[in-house]
Amino acid sequence: MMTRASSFSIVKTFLSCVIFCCDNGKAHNRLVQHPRRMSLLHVCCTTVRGFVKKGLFLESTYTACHRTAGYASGGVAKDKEPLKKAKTPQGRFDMDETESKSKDVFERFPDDVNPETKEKGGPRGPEPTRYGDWEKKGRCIDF
Amino acid sequence: MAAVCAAFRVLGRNIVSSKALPAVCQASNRKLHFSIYGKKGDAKVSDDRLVALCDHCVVGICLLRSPLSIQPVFNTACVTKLFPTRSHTVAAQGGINAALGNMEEDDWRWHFYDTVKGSDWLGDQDAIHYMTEQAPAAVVELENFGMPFSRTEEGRIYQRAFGGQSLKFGKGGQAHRCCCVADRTGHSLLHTLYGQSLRYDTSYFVEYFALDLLMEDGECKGVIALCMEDGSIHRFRSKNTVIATGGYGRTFFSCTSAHTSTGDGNAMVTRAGLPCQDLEFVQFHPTGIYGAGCLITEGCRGEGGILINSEGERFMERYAPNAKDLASRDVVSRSMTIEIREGRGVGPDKDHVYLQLHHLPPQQLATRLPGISETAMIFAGVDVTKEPIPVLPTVHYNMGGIPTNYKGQAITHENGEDMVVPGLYACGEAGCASVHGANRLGANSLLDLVVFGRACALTIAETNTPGEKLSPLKPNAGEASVGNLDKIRFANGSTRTSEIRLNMQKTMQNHAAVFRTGDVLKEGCEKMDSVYKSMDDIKTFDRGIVWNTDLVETLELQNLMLNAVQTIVSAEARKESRGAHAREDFKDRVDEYDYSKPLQGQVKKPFEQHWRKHTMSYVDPKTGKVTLEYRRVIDSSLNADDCAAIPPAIRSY
Repeated sequence: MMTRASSFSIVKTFLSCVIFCCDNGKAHNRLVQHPRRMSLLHVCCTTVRGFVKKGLFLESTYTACHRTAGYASGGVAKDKEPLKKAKTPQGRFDMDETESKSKDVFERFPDDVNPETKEKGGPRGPEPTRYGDWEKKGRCIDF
Repeated sequence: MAAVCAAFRVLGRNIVSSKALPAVCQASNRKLHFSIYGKKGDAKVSDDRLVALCDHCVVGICLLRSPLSIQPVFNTACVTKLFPTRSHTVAAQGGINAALGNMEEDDWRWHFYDTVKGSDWLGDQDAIHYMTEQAPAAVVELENFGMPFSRTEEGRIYQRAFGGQSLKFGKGGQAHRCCCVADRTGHSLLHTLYGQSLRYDTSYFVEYFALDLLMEDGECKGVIALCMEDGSIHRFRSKNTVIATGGYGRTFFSCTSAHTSTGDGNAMVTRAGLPCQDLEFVQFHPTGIYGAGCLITEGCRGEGGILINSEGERFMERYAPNAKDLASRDVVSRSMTIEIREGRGVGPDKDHVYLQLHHLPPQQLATRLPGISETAMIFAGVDVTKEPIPVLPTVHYNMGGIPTNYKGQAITHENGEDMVVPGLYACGEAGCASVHGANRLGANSLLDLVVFGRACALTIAETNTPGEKLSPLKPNAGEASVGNLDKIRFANGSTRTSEIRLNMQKTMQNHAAVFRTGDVLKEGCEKMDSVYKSMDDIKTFDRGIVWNTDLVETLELQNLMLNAVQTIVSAEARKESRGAHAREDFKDRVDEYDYSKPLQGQVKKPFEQHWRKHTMSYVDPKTGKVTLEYRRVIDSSLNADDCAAIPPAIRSY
């Protein structure tokens, strides 16, 4: 006789497996941004792998994926809120999704070739040695 | 670290079909060494005074290939306290200088001239000759290893102007000699060399903290190291040991180096009774972010940024009325230090000043200095458009280190002669060949690593054959190191390691930094003496042996102390200003002749009365007392016909 807590945890484990199996692209980002969830995924992945290795539960995992696929979005939305990474107290280092994605400070040159100096594979952005030292993002790297 | 990897580089094209000779005796020690599945089963926190002492016999501690024929390779071990690709070299993002001549006609002799001049004639010209002559070959070899240098349109390596390089012995204008890999040259270099080193059977002992050299009769017979993972102590017996442990930036409060830059190599050599050379020459940069240690580019001041003190005054107007904030780096550093000393610093400890940029239009900052707002926010926690950035003069590089000749062999100085220490080599920032002399030029230090790492390898190949028997080692070799380890592990004084370290760093920053005068330095020497003595009262908390970082930090602090006392005492003794060592009370260079006037009619000063000489410092580790000797600068190049030596002159740019 399973208790409510244990049945809930099993459902949660399966949902996490579903997210991993069926939603690989987004899961990767979540792995990056939600370390707590990552460990949960790891746990359930190793569990699943362990089961698969032992030749047991293969079929049931497969059917579980199918069965709960339809509930993925609903389940995920509910789970998402509490697991979202809390902002640091000062909120200083938290950046919006868009900002963190694009390196808007330095754009890639077309074909990685600097249009003025024709340097291929060189540093992005303005010429680092323009002030006499080697500058990168306001930092002095060498002088 | 990159230098050690550099030592493993291929010199020929032949593939060695036979595997490397296995280390002798290693099989019998397998049960003591940790197993491949991680910690050995019975590794637990214990109060055992002495943990497993393992002996590894390694024939030759440098692995390389003969360029001429297939030969069995040397057996090599790499003992490192960090994973190889985590060494501080990874942060060296500038370029490498080499006279390849891709952008204009170039000659390595002009590079030689620039480096000799940059060193303020304290560099050994034979070593500089060797380095600059080998530079093009070294860079091409790196490129053949797969290092992705940036290219010109024709596909040759792109070179840019950087680091005080000129053409035609200073008369031909700016030279373009600096090769780079996008903006991460050091990172790429380290990874390329590490990757190459994995082609050979090098035994990597990662996260092993080297405690001491095993010296017998003045010969280096190996290293004793602590395995941080399980607390076991390992003696590595080897015919040749190469030290490439980097600099000791962490002796100062503000430095750009990693927390691991603790001068372990210099300290090991000092404890072995050997000298260190020119430790008073420390390169500073005026605007390093307070607390973080990142340097702010001079471009900030170039674009209109100003330095202000606690009174909101633009103090550079007083020190350099014409150039103001655009004065040269040493003038700016000294002015900042004087302001701080006179009590006009900012912050709770009044120990730094502000760099103000918020009076500039934000769009100008964003276009001219892209990325600076990100840097300021991440490292200083300020919004650069609203608040000033806290800055103070920061240590960047140590020109001094373990004295070596141009082949990379460590030397000592006896009776006026240089004597090679058998079995010991040094390269990189830890070594002092000395190519940088009194001041390092930009983009020369990566070149130094690569060329001298290779030089050590070549010398070892020349003087040894693989399969040689090792000379016997006394059974109690390394006992003193183990005793010291033990003493620290159970230290029960009253001051924590972190407190003593902070005292040392603050003392060095206040007394041995940019602003050096007789009184300040003398006071600093006395304070450092008392800080050194306070090490006897140290308290550690972790009594375990597994991952005892308290113990390792205390060992590092011992190493830092040895470096710090040598630095400050050497600086106090050197009564002149040369390169990075600038004194307010002795503002001029004191050479054997006065080179600002014609030489004819001048009497040459005796060796004792001038300062164009290397400082060799020894420390008695028990008392912290430093003794100084001096050694002549090598003024002749390796081959006078090929490259004439540069006679000293006044250094002006």
